[in-house]
Amino acid sequence: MAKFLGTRVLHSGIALIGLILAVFFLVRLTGDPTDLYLPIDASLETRKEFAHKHGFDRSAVEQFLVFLKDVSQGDLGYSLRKQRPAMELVLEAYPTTLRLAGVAMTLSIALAIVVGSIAAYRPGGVFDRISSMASLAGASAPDFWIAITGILLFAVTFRWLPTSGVGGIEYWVLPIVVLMLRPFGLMVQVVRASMLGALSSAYVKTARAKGVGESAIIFVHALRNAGLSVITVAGDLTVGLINGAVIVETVFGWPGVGKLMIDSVIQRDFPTVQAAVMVTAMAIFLLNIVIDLLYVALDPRIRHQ
Amino acid sequence: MADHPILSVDNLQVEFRTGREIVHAVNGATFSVAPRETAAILGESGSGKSVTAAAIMRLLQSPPAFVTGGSVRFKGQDVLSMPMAEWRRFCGRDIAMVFQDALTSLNPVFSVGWQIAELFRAHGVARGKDARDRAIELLGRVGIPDPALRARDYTHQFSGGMRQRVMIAMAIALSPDLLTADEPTTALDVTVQAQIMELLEDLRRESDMAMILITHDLGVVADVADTVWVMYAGRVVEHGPVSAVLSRPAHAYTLALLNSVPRARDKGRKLEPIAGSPPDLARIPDGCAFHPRCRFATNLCRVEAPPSVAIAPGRAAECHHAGKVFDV
Repeated sequence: MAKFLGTRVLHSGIALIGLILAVFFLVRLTGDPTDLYLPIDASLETRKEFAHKHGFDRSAVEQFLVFLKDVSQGDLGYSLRKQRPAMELVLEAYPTTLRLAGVAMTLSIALAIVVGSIAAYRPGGVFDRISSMASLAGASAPDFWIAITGILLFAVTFRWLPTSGVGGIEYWVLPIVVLMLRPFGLMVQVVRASMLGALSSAYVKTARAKGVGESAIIFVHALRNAGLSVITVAGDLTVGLINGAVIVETVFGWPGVGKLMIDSVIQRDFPTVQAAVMVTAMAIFLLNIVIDLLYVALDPRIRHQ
Repeated sequence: MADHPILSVDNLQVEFRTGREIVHAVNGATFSVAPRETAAILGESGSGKSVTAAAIMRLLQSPPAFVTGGSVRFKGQDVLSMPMAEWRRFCGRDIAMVFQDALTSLNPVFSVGWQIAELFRAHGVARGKDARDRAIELLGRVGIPDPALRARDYTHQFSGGMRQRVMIAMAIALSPDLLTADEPTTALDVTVQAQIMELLEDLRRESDMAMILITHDLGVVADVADTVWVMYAGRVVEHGPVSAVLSRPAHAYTLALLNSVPRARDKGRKLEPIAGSPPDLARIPDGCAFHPRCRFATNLCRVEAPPSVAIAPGRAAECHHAGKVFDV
């Protein structure tokens, strides 16, 4: 177990270094921040001073070495835009994103399990056909389009919900629904497929021969087995959700890490982009380790290997 | 069979509807089991014996399987017309089943102790620690060493024979009146087969159970069964007390079956395989289903289904030439 976790952390570390490298150099391809932060008629002196202050006058490799040294001391630099430590901005934005993604994912998983299981119980039935169609539509709908159409319909035309921003529960509805569509749609299909297999298995037959009730057969015997593949997909989708959050937060004006990332990229706020990507990557690595642990906890066959 | 039968199956018909054809798996199977007896259902693959057992337990998945006729009475109750929820209360408590492949028939993600204890929980007999303790006791009873420790283990940690013992422990947990064992030893090593059969037979005797033993193994039938029901192409073609049927069969198929297996007392005798292959159940031959493979077959066999011919009390065969076969 310790060895397994050790290799996992090591692999994650290597991937993280690669990611930092990529982000560091790619973000510098977006252009020179000096042009954005100084007035158009700023003197050469001022420009030089700005570049020197932030280290942009050195070569990219030199900048990287300085960056690595700072990171090793826990310093991810100052936001160019906000004149505050970049890490502070990221950590401020994170809870918003986590809350949004957490609610969306929990709802998606719970709903998908119920809908997928019922669909698999009577394959080809009315419920199965309707849910298959709905989940396919959800999985394939482009979220930015759904988001904008949702605002147009429910916020502008009907005036039931606010267009954007944060506040009471009514502000949550549209972002959550948009964020849920894809994971929910995909997971209904995964749950359905693995439940179909589980429900026609020999151990379910045994459970019936034992006189176990149908709900326990579906939600205990079959689901516990089908759950193993659902977890894998749910993990991947959670990662995807963080990407989805970039779009949803931007469209709905949620002050989360997705919006922070986009704003920082547009404004060439390199330190903030780097900090946001690093924290997100670490969150994803942590999530993957949690999924592995869940797998071990749920499947005794893996536990004993 | 002085006792009123605990189970009687009358003219049971099961078909599987696939996209293109209808497979007639069971075509009017009729048999009965008396309390405390061991009845063997003997037949080769595709004879309908396992489907019959699944139909009795109402475990067939529909579609594709449909019970299209006949009746099953268990302890005087009409099984097939009972609401499923009501029938499930009989399952595990009054009638239990041991399946062929214990590896896939046990749930891989729950401990065996949990799966045995589930019977007590599902039927409201015991819960929590009480149910667990009873499960451990059962594991000991079926001969699993260190039952308290092994109860926490999972299916993949057991050997084939031990897994089948776990299945048997589950089946006898609530002391059912009838145990159906569907090829319980087919997936096991020969040495383990004998142990499992012995265990089943001991448990049956101790708890006054009746047992339906589904098998293709003549040796097993001869060893443990009281009566035998020989199935071919979804019908019971011959039945009677085991010793009588096996020593002097009255159906050409039973005779051919006996001649195709080696027996100690016929040393030096040449084995005669049964010619041809089992019938395609989507296209069962007219007349007697066995006629294309039968050395006694006449024109009558090709056109007319044979009636049931009484051979002795409690013994009958569906064969036009029962007399001739009997006298061989």
